[in-house]
Amino acid sequence: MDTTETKKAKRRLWIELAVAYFVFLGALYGCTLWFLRAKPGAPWKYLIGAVPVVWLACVSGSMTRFIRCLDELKQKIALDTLAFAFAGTLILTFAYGFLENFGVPRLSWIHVPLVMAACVIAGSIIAKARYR
Amino acid sequence: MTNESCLADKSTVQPLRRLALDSCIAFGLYAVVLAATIWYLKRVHPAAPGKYLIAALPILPALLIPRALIRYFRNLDELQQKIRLEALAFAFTGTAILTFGYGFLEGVGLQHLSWIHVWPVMAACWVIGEVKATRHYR
Repeated sequence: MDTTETKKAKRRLWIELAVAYFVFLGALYGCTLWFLRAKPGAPWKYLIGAVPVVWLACVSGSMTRFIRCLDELKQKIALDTLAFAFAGTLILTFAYGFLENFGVPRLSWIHVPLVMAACVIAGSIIAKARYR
Repeated sequence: MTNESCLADKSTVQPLRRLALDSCIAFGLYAVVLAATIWYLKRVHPAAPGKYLIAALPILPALLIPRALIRYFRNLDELQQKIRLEALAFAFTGTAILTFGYGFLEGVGLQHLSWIHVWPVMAACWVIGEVKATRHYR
């Protein structure tokens, strides 16, 4: 059962993530689809790569605040989940990159967050089962 | 050195030593299986049926790495766990955003990169996260 503080922290995280998400999508889609289509050969097009960094700053701040509001048990579960997900993502992406040498189709980096999400789900199931 | 700092050092060094040992075993096994699969697929049987399955075999010893990492975190004291948690959270969100951002930019002309290059991004994000979190709790 979540404490009132955890509930508040969760609500705040979701609001901040939603805002950051829409800012990111708006900026990235706006920049790439409008500016780059208008000027495909523009030398500053790689500057758009800096847009996700702005989002990173927003999201990492929200995540840190959220983690600090969690109680001790939830922090332990989060640590186990993230440790599993981090190592899992590292292994799976590296293994897939290795398989590309043997003819597996090359995938865009846009799909990496999906692997990360799957690893977080698996990690949280394992961690919750351990601390139940 | 006072008794307190001795204890603090032990609580940090011992889990690290254990992690180093577990990682050496995991990476050693990984290297052996990787070399064997490369040798088999390049030299012995390049068109082996189920070659993707064989090429994925190095994942098995690599599974020891998350186990070693989780054990390392569990053996740390509370403050160190907080620092690692914040560093990992930063590294994880950072990697997700940077890979997603780069993937999006691939669509507008940036060079396609193999997934084998994702881990340096993860490592860099973790280092930045560690520095950030350690500074906060100093």
